[in-house]
Amino acid sequence: MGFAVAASGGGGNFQHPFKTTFTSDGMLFAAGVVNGLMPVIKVNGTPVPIIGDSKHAQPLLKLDSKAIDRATLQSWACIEVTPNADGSLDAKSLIEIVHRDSPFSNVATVGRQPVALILWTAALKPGRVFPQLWFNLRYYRTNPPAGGGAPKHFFL
Amino acid sequence: MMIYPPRKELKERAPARPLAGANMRLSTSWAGVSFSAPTGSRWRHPWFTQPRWDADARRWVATVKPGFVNGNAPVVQMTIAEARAAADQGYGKNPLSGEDYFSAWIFDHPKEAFPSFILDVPLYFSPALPLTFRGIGFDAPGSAVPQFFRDRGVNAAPPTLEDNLLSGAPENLDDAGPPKGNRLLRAADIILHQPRTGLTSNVSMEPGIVTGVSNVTQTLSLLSPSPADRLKVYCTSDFSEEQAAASGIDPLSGDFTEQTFDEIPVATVYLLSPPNTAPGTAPDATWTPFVQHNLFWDLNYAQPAFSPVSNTQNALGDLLGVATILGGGTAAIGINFATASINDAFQTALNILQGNSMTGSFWVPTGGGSTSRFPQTPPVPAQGATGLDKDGRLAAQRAAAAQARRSASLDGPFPYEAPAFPTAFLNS
Repeated sequence: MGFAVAASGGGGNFQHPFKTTFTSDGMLFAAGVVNGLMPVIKVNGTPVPIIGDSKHAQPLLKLDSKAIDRATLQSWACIEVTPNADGSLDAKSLIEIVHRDSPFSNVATVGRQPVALILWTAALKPGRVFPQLWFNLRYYRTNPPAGGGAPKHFFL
Repeated sequence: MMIYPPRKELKERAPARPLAGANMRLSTSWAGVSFSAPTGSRWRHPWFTQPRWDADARRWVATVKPGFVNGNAPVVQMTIAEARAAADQGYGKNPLSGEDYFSAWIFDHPKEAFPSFILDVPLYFSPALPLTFRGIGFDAPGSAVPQFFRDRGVNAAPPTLEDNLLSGAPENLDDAGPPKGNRLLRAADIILHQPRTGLTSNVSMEPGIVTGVSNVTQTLSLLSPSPADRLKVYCTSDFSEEQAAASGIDPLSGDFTEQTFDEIPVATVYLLSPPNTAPGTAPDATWTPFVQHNLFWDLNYAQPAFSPVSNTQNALGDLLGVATILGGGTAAIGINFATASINDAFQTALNILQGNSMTGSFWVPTGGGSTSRFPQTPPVPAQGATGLDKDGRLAAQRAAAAQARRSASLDGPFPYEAPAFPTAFLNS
């Protein structure tokens, strides 16, 4: 075959959990966990771990231009967590990376943590991506207040 | 750099054909084959602050690498006239975006019509933040000089006449001039400003049934921030967290209104003058900038819930009752207690206000739970610092100390530090 020469990737490559790779079709994510559980991306309705598994290739988060904030031309890739009724997370809980027009969830049962900010061009094409999450996560949900109200979702 | 298979094995294979391995670019020409390895830019953390001298405006400005709070980018507020002036000066290419500074759509406003109109420019458009400095050191009496700058020739201010009189030391006018090689120091604080809901209280007193005892009613209610207030980054020459927290609260006049924002320092920019600069000189391009960061990672932010006062506050006074009031559509809590003096009433009111403060907290989601202290890099002993060669050992130690001074930074080692999650939120 011959010989090959390789080099380190340079100082600009900081490998961290949930590191995003921006492609023309969407975004890929490096491995990362929430309470030790790896989030999924739904591919045609099927949840696939963000680094893929034995049956599926690494899934791509599609960036839909309908899910952006038109006033600021921003959107977010977010981790959305739907815990069990008691607030705990286990293998049956839904931990998903989704594309949203806001970093905040207005659904009381869902906690949302932004992973990356996507800036769109005036032609509604994704332009630049800013990572916003650098570590694995631990999730905690408070109990709903006794007098009624929504629980709080914390990512620590 | 690695070459594989090893040269020994290569000799057994012929002909050897060069291949591009990981992160390596190969190009072939008549002269042969060349490999190009990427140098890679140094990774810079969020909130990385870069000061520079603006030669046209003759002032120091800074750009801050975008950091985010709950996913949102803070803004820098500037007038259209300032934005236009900055664009006209031509800052060149922004290394982060590869585009011209101030070329983004947000700067495309009718500049002529409203030159004093305030623009909210998000940090990801790299707006230049004008810096305003305070003096530290020889020409700023009363200021403390960090050891980092003492090592670089900054001297503390000489004692004043009052200091000498108080200490009994004789005044020596010969020593009033700056020491030889003296360097001056200036500092500017860059602050992250987060609007939030504040707490305000109204205290009223009526004579009680018992002589000399008043019934006090304190009504706690929420105060919204100004609609124009934004999550922003700004520069100030003198920032004090304690002073900011206490603003709006004056127990003597019975004014208990919390501020409607939280603030945290992003970084402090220092400017170090050349040696023998005359005291009082304004900084220019000849001064050397240093940055001490306080934030290194993107932040989450939350406020405690506004909830009825707990019974534990009986200890603060004779708490007679707590009632939730709805006035003007805003939730409020009425608290009744009895006291003998107006000072006691105001102190109790202040304690209740502070005990139910709406002050929020910043933290970094590190997955580390309640602590965000990262392990520090263990110190590496200097080469030759052990052994029987005493001269060599001392020389190695001196060389290591000199190297440490040269490479010293105001920031700690990677992975830096992060504000910890406030565990009190888990009890709410």
